[in-house]
Amino acid sequence: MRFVRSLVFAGLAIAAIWLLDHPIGSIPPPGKILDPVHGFMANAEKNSDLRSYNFNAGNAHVKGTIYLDERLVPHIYAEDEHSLYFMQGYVHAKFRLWQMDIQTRAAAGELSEIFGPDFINYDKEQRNKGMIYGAEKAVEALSSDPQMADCIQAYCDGINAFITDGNQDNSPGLSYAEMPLEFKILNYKPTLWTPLKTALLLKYMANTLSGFDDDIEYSNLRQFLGEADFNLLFPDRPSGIDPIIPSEKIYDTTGLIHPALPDSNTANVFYDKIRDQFIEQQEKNEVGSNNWVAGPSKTKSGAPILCNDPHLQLNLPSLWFEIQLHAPGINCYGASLPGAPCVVIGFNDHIAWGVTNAGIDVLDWYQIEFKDAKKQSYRYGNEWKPLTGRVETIHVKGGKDVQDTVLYTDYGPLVFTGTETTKDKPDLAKQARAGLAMRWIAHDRSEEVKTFYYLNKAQDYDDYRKAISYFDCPAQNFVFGCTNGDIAITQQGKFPVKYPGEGRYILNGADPKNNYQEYIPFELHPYIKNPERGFCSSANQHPTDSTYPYYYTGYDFEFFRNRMINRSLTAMQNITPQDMMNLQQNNFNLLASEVLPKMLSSLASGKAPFEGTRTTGNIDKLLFNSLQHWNYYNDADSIAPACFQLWWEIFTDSLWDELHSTTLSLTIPDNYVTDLLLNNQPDTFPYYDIQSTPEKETLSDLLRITLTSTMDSINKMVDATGKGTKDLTELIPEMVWYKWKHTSIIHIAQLPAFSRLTVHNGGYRNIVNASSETHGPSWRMVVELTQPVKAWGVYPGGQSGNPGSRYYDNFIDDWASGKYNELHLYNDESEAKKSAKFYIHFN
Amino acid sequence: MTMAGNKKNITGRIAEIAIAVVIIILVQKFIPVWWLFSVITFIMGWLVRYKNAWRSFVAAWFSVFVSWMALYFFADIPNNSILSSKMAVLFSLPNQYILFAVASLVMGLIGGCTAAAAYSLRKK
Repeated sequence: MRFVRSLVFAGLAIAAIWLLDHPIGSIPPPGKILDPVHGFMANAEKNSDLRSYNFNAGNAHVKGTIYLDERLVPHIYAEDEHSLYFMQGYVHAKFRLWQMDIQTRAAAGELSEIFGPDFINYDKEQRNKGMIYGAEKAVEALSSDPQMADCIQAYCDGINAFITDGNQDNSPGLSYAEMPLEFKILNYKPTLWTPLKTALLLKYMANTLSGFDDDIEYSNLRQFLGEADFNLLFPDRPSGIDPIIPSEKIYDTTGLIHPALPDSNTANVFYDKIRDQFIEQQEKNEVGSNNWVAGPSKTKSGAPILCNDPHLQLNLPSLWFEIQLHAPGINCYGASLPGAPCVVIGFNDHIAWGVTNAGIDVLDWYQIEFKDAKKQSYRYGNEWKPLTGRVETIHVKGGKDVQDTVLYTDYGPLVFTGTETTKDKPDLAKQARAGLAMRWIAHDRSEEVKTFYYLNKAQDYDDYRKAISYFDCPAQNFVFGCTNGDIAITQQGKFPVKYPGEGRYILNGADPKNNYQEYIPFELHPYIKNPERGFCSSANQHPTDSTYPYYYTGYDFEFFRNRMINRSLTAMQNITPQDMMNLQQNNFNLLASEVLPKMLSSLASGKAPFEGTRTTGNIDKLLFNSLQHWNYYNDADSIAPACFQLWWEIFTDSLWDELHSTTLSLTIPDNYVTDLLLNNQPDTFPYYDIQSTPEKETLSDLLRITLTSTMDSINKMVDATGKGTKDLTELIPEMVWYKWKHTSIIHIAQLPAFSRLTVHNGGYRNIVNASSETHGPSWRMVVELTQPVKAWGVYPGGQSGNPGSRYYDNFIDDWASGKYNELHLYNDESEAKKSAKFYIHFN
Repeated sequence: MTMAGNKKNITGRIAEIAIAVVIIILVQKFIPVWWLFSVITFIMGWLVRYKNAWRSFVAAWFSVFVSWMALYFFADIPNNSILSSKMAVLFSLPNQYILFAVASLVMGLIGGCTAAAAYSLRKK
């Protein structure tokens, strides 16, 4: 009997241990992760985890010290460059290893290996888009330059030294306890770093910033609307724009390259092919950035002040990692990208630089005419060219490998195969793109890292120009300032010479003249040095006025932030760094200021159309009043911004109902175009008509109808407990602007527990302080180029990628309230040592 | 049974549990095998002569619960609950203390089982 009892107890215990030692579905082994010493609690950072130590790099010959200051910013003092990039790799891995791993997996299409079969479609698309193909070419290019090859190899070795903890046999030195928390939660292990992973990460950025376009939508729109209306609603160059390069610039047109004109254009043919297929509207991309520099004539100190804030998806761990790099020949500080060597946006003791996205179309689609159903060759002029296949193998967690052959033309890959599905239903939008080859500059051999490598060391304008000349994709506006007083801006990328209209629509791949033939020479990329107006700026707008000799088209030009910035900088004198910080936080809604007066005055008789028609009381009147007296600032705690935003969305939806009435893949006009039309078209502009009603609506009808439905939906949100008060923020708390837009900083694996939801801040898209739901100023930097250089910066995150660290999100509140940290570029190692909280010594 | 004997008995029981707690804490601290406590409780069940298997189970359960709770707090207090509060959200629990208690309780049950198994095996 007792043996039986013993067996039962032992059996129960063993069964429970076995069960808790294995993953249960997507849940990691519970016993392992709950272990109070080596499980998740090992990631609960305590003070003694931030203590100094020596690291023996073995045969790597690394000499130097990393000093970590009170914000956990590493100041790396290395004896030589090799040691410097090794130590940068090491410290990136120490604080951000999981993020680096998952981002490269997301780039390469290797997520199914971690998350299972749900990600096969995502992975396939990344593969088909040629992400690995492009990254491999970048590695090829970089390894052909010995200096770059060493920089990247040293950087990889540093990361791997952290992963292997100096083990010479490359076996993982990180124990389960030491692994970043997310590896435990997702139940997998880090793999060794390679130059390919760094290249993948840079291609991931290229994809975020240049991997999309409106070619298919524009092809459709041109047919659907007719040439005249298409040009009215989707102008290549709308009136009233304020380009990056001021009009004083004279372009040298000697030796101009003339593009070959094609014999035919096949947009019309394509249109018929995707007719009648239901396609969702594309979400407007929110990626953007601001940068500007004011020259000596504009600033109080007489030294240039340079500013930059790239608006990217806001995530935890943050995209950026602050760092100082010091070795013979280099001393710079700024935001680095964990997974890549060098500083991406920053300054040194002579210069400062910043970037914004150029938004020039460098991704085009070619319709391919196959010889036969076997798809082995395609027409190119008078010949048939062979297609090559590239086999992609996707590993799937808990499933069989998926093998996929992607077909490549000389243009690039055939991204869509016509078999795409979303949640087991045919994805018609994607299937419609079958038979199109993608030509994307990000697939070309390029060496973008070289730009940052040389910018980090640059001492003057010539060094800056040389450094940026290596940058191909994603095209960026590089702003520059120097302690000698020089300021400049250059739009840099690899730009094909195009005939007017080329690349706005689907191109005929059978006509070789549609292929990229030549590229705009570096000297003719838009740039200006020391302009008369005393400042340079960019915020994703058109780079030039119409005197620029080459044709270009954009996929994502912005029209509000840049005008606001230029207007402010023109007016500002004796500028201080604090003035610049205030400009970065500026919440003025230029769109609202241009359209709302017209909207209110166009309402019949200027009165609220609903007065006395509703029984809920005075809420409508209060709301209307708040709109009438709004100062157009999207401040965190006001009501009017949400009221305007809601009305604007309902209004534009009804205004462009003609474009919603079709099943074609289309896009709607930019807010700026709507702004222009609203202010310049007669009240009887045909698009004001609401198609679903028998009446012919005018502007005032449309405004009245949409304002009424705006009020209707707001009245549904009224908090009954707040009745009796006249304070709208109490009556309708969810209309308070920061709650309405709810800027949230989401953990990369979308875990709400590790995210910061609904941050208290103002701003919005199209506003200088560009904080929207998911995107916003991911790094704010202000650099005053005095001697010594002074700088301030902040990003919505923290230096540590560990959710168990107090350095995980400690900058967020400062970021939201507009505070900056002082950025210390120490000249002397003793200064870094003095301010260090702890250090890591390499020998 | 005399009063003195009874008292000695209680002190003895407390001492046994205290020793088990210390050993479990040390073993868990230095060896990264989360279920090692169950080996300790097995030995405890074998060596310590309780009145019956049930009491052996309870003593072991209690030892594991106390040692795991202690280990959680050792790590949690210097961290100001930064991580544990997030993990509680991740596990959809109201707070970190419930997370610690649930985990410790479940582990205690496993410990109780191995102690009872050992007790039953040895009992003459």
